[in-house]
Amino acid sequence: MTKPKSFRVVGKPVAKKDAPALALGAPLFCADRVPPRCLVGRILGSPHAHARIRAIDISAAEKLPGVHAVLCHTNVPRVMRTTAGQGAPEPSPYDFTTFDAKVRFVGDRVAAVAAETAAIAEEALRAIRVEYEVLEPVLDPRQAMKSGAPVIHDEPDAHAVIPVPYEPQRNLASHVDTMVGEPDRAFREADIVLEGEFVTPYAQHTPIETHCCLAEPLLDGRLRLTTSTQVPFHARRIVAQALELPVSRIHVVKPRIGGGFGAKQEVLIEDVAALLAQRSGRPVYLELSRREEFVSSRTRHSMVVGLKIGAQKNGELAAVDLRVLSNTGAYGSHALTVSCNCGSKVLPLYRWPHIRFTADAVYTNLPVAGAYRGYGATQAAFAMESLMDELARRLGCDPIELRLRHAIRKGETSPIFRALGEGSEGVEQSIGSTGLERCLKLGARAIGWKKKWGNARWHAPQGALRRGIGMCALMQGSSIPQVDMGGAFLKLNEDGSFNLLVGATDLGTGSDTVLAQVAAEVLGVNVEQIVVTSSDTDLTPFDVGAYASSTTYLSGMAVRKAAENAAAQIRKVAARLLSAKASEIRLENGSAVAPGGKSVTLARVACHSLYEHDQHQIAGFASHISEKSPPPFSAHFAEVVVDTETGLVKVEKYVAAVDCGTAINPQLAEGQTEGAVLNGISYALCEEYLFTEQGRMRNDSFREYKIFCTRDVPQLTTILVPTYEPTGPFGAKSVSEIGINGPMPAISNAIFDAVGVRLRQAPFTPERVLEALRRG
Amino acid sequence: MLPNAKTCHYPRTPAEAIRILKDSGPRALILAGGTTAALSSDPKVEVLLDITRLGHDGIQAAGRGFRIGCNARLQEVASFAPLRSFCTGLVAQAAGAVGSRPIRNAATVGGNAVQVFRWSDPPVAWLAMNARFEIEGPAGARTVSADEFYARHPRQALDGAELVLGVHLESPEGPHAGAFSKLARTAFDLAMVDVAVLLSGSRKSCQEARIAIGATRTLPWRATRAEERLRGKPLSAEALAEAARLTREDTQTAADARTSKEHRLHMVEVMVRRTLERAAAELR
Amino acid sequence: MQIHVEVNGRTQTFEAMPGESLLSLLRREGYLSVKRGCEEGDCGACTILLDGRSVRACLLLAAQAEGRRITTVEGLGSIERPHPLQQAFVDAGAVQCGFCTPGMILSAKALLDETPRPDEGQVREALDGNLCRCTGYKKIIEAVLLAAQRMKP
Repeated sequence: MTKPKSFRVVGKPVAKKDAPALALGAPLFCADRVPPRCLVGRILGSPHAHARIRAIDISAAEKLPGVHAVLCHTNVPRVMRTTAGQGAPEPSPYDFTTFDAKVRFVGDRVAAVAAETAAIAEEALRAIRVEYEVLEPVLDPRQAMKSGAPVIHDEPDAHAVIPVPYEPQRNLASHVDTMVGEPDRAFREADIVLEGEFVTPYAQHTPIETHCCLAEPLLDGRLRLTTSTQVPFHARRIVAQALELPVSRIHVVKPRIGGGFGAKQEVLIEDVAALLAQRSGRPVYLELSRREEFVSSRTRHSMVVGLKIGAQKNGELAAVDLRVLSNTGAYGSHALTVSCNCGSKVLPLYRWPHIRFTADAVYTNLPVAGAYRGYGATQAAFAMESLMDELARRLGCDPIELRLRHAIRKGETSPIFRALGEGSEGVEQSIGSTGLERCLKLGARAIGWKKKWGNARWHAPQGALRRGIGMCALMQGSSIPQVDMGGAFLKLNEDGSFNLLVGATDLGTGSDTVLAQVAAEVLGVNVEQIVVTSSDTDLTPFDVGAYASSTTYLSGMAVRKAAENAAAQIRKVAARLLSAKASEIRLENGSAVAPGGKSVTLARVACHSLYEHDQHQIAGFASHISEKSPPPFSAHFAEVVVDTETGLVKVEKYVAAVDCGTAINPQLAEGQTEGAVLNGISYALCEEYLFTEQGRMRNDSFREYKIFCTRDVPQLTTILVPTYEPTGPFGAKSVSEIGINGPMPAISNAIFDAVGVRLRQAPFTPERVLEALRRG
Repeated sequence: MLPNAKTCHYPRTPAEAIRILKDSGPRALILAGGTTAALSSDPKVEVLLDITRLGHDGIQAAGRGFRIGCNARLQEVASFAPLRSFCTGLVAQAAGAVGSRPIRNAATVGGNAVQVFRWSDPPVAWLAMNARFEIEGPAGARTVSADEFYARHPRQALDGAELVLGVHLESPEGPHAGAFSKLARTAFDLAMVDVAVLLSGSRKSCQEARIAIGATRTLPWRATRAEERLRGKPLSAEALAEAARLTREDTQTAADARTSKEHRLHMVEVMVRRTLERAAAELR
Repeated sequence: MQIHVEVNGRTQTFEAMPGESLLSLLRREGYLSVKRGCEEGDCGACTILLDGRSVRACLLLAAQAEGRRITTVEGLGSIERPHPLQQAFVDAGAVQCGFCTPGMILSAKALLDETPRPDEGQVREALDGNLCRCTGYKKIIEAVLLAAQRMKP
């Protein structure tokens, strides 16, 4: 679609629709909707990293007064499936059942109870007698792949549901490889070959609201789940699968939710809450404690990323070889697709003539990895952008220049787009829009790159302190092409307002507002005229949910099409009222306007069509599936001070310039970027799971697992660089994920600039920095 | 959740509080800020004793220093203007280093002094200042120096029914300067290393040095060999560095989720040297 | 036991277990803006004002509220007449998921009551106990400064 001359609602910082009520503290979250006399659900977690349940006795717990249901593997049907909230058939292996006779990590599910109070529920958990046969755990992904290693998924019914490599007997949850050209020959012929191994830790989303779900049996025998989810429709399908019910028996409602970041793209506790409600016949509320959230929900895949790049002395790129070893923990949720993303969201950024990509995701007896903002691109971008920095230094050129020279341009394609999809082959696409060049230039200006880069005076030591500056370039995607689908329905009311019903899921991102802006732009009304109902499986059309940076781009397009459909019907009625041609009527300021200036309000149009003549409901419906996944691009810049005596790294300034196409709502786009960037900085500097030798997490609280607070925030600048993506709604691309990928490489590069050592293992804790300085 | 707590008393005088404590014995739990009590699930506790209403909540100038009431909140100590300059702000800085604002608003000086954790920040300052603790109990009133108070866990230093009612601070006679440093991973984190120092005399000749270290073992402690190294000597860069080295040698610590033993030892040396340098710079 | 408190200007008598947290009591009594994020005093989602000071409801026992004055965000404004801080949070784009918002606003209110024209450093310090994972805090800090500017006497 071509770019309109100007927008009326799109591109404006319209206030987020739910913000006023949230600022008032209105009871809009799951926990606020718990009815009186609701039962409390609790889950018994495994104390062992790897064990078989020889026997389990729940009779004492069942007999406790006030206990209404006790679940364990002996009384719940075994249905192999995945918890990953992905389109069906899922690319994640079916290696999970609601309760199993084996536990695979400390915190894995053993049993669950519903009781009248939390105290009774906890007493019931203590009354469950479990006899474990403790097995040898395997915690290191490299050990897990060796022959003779304990097999974590030795159950015969674990299987992959799409045709992909899956070898649980080797603890291999997924394998991907692809090759373009002749990388081996290209490396042999390259003047410069750089190589490195980059290690990223287990880390967590830590939404401030933990996973929670209210399950209520309804009078008609159905179950309603009010749940903190990013994927209401996948949750309905997966709960139906687990309970062996048709989806029509399940109603999923997403209220306001307290953050997700990928953690809630997982159908993690809905199955248990639903079963407890079904068995007890009573409403049940299940909420994870913060400790359970850390240990038993989902994490970022910890990875060892091996990267080799080759180039010629004149700066030409020769070849790249990216090898990923991903630790998926005890279950293979998102194992394959996160691995694929390491390649597909990083390799196309530069025009490599020869490419090799291999990725293994491996089971270990550690907490389960899953979807997390960035989704593999975060880990691989750390490797790629670090080595590109090294290459620039080897070539003696400015790292910005190196990126400008080799970054993919508008109209170009990458063989990776076709080669790597989400578990299957990808989709060929060419770049329809890129603002990377402007991101690099504007970001460099904002951080003062020219004055600082290579300037010895700026770098002059102050006591033990050293200053440094670093940067990186990034890309992500917008939706999963030919897979993701979103639907939208829109109807006109008597006062000229519209109800917009979307399956899309607002997890605090503001998508309800963004989608209303898209509809309002088409229909020539204010955002206030669009009443949004979203994420209710009984009321709204299907949408895959909030993941893969898809909502604005994909669901936004569905809304645009539905609105255009409704607009056509409005024009038809208005044409009769105005005695004009429908095709010549414009919609603006809440009216339909004929070429001469004669107009009729949408309220009049609605009343006419509802009550007066040729009566019908003016309503638009559309669904959308994308053929492309246009990448947003971004350039990040970090200025750091390294204390060479304590090893403490302080980020003083950070600039993120991002091309997200048209920012439908610039304020929300900035907010997405700032949140992602700070999460990324916190991750780069201090976030990391620590485990005992038995696989128990040592820092399972906010007291020990630190995330940044207000006093840790550097001076943070966001620059939105507008482009126009022809396949997106009003030119929009995605913005939510890309920002988290930059801090690790940008800060690592800045540390090198300051003290001349490369940090290749994150987080860059004072101890690691000092160790690197000692090694030199 | 204290599952067996049945009543809560709100004594108006120390005497009333002491009587209830004496009667209830180990069944009683004192609530000051309550920030620790609220996380306890001790089944022994049946009687709660909210001592925040028995007065002793102000900060008063007294002699060459101050008396801080046990019910003064840490945030008040941190922001009390005269304390921000007293001994170069050493005490105010240590109180301000605790947790986050809402915790400092709740936690009291008395509660924090007694319910000491390895990472507690203010006790390090009390030790550097050689504060005196004003204690009242069934047998009457007594004062205990910080050295004595933190020689073992303060709850053992107190007989079961005794209360700390206030902390007395006195600056050294003559020129002096203090400094406090906390090393942590983020701004809102428990200390990895705490250092508080108080120097008196001049840079040419140090009269007295007190160096207190926190977060390395169960209780805060004084680096006496380092103090002796500085006493009566010029506060040269070498002397301060050597005092820091001696402190490191005397540090007993272990690894935890925050850092390794080796790194913490190294940090003790760096932080002691820097804190001494800051204090020394304030002296003539 | 019975707890007598003033909540948002109204005198109330609540039936409470002395050993339960104030957080659990307030939520049971319908003050649902007080959020449960960790129950260990680390996240700040349950921040309330106790006699005008920001504190964590999860780190107080219900019994400690006896005779005290409590403010929750429900007591600050209404949809027709939001408090300037609430309006500033909306206008500055400081609300994303909104789960930390009530606690943030109360910490900010305690600051502005004491320091009507804070600088950025004072805002950062006053909010350092309220964790947010959505915003990167930037727009939250801006919102507090905006409210202070709008509220200037």
